Amino acid sequence: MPQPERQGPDAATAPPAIEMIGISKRFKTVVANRQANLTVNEREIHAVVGENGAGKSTLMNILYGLYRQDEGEVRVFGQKVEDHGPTNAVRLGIGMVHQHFMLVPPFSVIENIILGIEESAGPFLDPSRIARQVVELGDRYGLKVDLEAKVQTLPVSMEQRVEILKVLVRGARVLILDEPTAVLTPQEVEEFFKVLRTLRDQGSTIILITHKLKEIKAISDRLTVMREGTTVATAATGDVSREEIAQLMVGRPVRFAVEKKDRPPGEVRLVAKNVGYTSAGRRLLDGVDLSICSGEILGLAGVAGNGQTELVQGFTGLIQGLEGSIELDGRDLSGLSVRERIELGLGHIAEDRLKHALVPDYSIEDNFALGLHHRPPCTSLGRLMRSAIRAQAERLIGEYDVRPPLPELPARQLSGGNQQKVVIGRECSREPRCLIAALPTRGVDIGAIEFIHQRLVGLRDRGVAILLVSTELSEILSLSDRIAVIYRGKILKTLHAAEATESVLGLAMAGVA
Amino acid sequence: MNGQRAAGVVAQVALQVSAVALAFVLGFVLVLIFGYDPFEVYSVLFNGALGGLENVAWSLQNTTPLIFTGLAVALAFRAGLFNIGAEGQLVAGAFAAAVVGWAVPRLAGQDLSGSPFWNATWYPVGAGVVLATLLALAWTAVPHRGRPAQRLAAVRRVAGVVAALVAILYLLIPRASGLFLWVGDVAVVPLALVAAAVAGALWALIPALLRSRLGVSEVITTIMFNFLATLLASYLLTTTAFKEPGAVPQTPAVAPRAQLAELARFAPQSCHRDLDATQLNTGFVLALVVAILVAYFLWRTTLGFELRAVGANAEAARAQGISVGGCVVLTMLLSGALAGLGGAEQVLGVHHHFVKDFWVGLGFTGIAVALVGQNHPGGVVLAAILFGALQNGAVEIDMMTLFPRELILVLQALIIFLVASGPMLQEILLRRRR
Repeated sequence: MPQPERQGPDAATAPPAIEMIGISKRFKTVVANRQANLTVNEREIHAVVGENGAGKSTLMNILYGLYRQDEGEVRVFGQKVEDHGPTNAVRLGIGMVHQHFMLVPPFSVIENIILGIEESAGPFLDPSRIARQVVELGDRYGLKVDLEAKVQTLPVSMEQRVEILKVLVRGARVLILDEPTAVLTPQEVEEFFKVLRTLRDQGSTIILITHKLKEIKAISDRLTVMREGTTVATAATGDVSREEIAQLMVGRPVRFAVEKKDRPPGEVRLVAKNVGYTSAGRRLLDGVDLSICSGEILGLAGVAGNGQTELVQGFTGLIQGLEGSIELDGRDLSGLSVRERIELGLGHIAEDRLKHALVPDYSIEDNFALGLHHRPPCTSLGRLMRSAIRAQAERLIGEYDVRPPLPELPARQLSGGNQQKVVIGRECSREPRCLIAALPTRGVDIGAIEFIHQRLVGLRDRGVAILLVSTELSEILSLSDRIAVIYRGKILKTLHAAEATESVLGLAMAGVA
Repeated sequence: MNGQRAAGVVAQVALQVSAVALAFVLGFVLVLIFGYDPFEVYSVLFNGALGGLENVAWSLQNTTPLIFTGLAVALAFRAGLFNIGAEGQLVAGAFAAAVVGWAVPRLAGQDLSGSPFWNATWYPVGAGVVLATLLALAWTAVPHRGRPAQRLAAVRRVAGVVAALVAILYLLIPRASGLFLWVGDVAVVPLALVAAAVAGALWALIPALLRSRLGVSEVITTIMFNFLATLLASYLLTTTAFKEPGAVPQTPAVAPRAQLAELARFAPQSCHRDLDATQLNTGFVLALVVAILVAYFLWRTTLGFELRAVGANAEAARAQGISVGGCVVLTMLLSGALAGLGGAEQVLGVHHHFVKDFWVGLGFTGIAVALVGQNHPGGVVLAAILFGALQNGAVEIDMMTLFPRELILVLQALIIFLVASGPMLQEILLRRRR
């Protein structure tokens, strides 16, 4: 086990690139950071890991000058920082790449890069000088991008390069990267890690915010674990195991492997035949054939944006007018509304819970009722049965361990993991015939992932047919009985879980069948 | 948890009250700048608004239509719709109430058996139509498969029921003139109110359909429908069919039986002298009852639940099987009906005629009322009282002081401005703490 971190600059002999000492930050009554300490040495890749709400983002935003700490001290290259702000951070050589890219899609790459430096460069710009600089940086770090291409035509991995170039052009020596791999395929992640190593070897310092344990092990030199607003440990990555890191993050031992008994699949529940969909001239789904049996989890692997969203929305009825046919229990779903499909037993864990699964301003109990709120016990003669809704919510809050256990609390105020528990609890408790689970663990922390996985397997064992859509290969591999790979709207491969390996799937996800 | 929610409500109310108070302070400074005595102006204002039973009654009389239009706007807001058309819907409702209140009691007294539709030639034809309608009804009962067929069947069923009702009325009227007399006598007020609600709802129907089917912004269409309603009404008041003979552009008076009773009738004798001057009527009580019904609808019925879900997150509502388009149409119809009721109160309770231009500002002030009242029926009632009282205070200022009456408009604008910028103020306070 790693030692708790010692405080102060005496931890290293040379002045480290970043020191944050005793940082506390409060938002109204919520303590976001409590006596957090972070020391990042020069020329290292330092992972900051922790669950959602552990205070990683707040700490990084303080470092970048977006927030001001209530207590504590920030030192950059040994120099104490006073009167911090984003402009100041840029001057000190700190750059940040946010999780959600901040690019202007119709602008070209070079225009986007210029946009980033405009504020500090005075009224006159010399685009050709900047372009030369960008090309030089790109050559040096292996960040090749077509400068004239419009950002909207670029794949996400390229957008990320543009974001990194933006930061480098502004002279950043310390890069903060917030969940950079969330949008990349396994192969792209490899490519990206190469860039990071080059950056480090050429003298940059990199702070990587992440919760993916495997990547931490693969790329970082040292890591700092955060829990409940404070830093609980700092260690060299080689000295700690995945299990130890996870235990530090969650505060208790975590099981990674999902216990799953072999179980022969039952009768066919959901069948899609030759499903196609074209929107705005783009062929988003093309000849998709799938079938899911009772008591089976079919994993749908693929890089985000290859038609998964459209397929899921086609199943649930959010998109109408698909070509081909979709049948549930032998009944054709075409033309049926979302409500009719819910009533037939089609459950849906939406990939974007705040957009499609929850009404954030509604209370927990109302969100539990949504979807079947128009039926008994929630409704009687057009009136909402408040007591029945409350009783249902109290039962599910207990069963699915939603915290805080307050049925009247707006769902907006829950953490991501607890919001997802509300969604999972609602959909699972209805004993669906078939459950469409789209990214069920997206943005959810390790403890909740474990819980959600157990629930999904439990449903499968009770005979529910489950379509699991995920961009996390490890999730697909550990839960699925069969795996289908989708690429540009087509199912490239369907194979049994036993035959599947990460490399086979990874290649198929990149379109190499 | 309940305590926490109560604290939230208190904080909301406190924010609104402090915004109103701040507006009064700024108004005070304004009066001073213009060189008038703010103490005198404010004392006249408050006296005019709330001083004595008569002034209170006047203020509540001003308040009543604002409750209706405020509720109309607030209900639409709850479903994420901005109904600027409350004024047009109010006009449509008022006109319908005026026509029913004037024409029905007159018609009720007449013997119809000799009139063209009910003579010996036409009556058998009418009876045939009745039979055909009943057959059509029976046909709608035949089950159909598939969704488009279902929808068609629903339309046919509604049409069948309406046709059957018309037919039955047709058959009964000459036989049971007693029923018709009863309608013209006792039931005319409910009939006029229903007509006003239906007319208001119909006036909102086209914008509602355009929004739900084609995504046309209801903001623009409802504004246009305001013009249509007010100009059409003004035109009709120039035609002999609807204009009462005389200099005033108004419809003939509604029958006494069609008027909403003045509250003075129910008050103790000692208050009569104060109340008689005003037209404060049972419409005010109706407004309060309707406010309670709207609150019940929003928070205790399944439809209200769906409507608020659509307002809070239409995408999520759709994904949970709620028909967003259906909710949009329903909301607009209800919103229009509420505004229409406000028009009925004005015609049946206050003016007793449909008078040209009585509606000016009622719908738009309703938007301000909904805003200040935070789109909550209780808040709407309180905000409507505030605006009604300010209006009456303005009249008093006009009569008693040299100060221009426009001050009151400035004050109202200040209140709306400060209330609307409440979240902004909060944000500024928070940011400074960062």
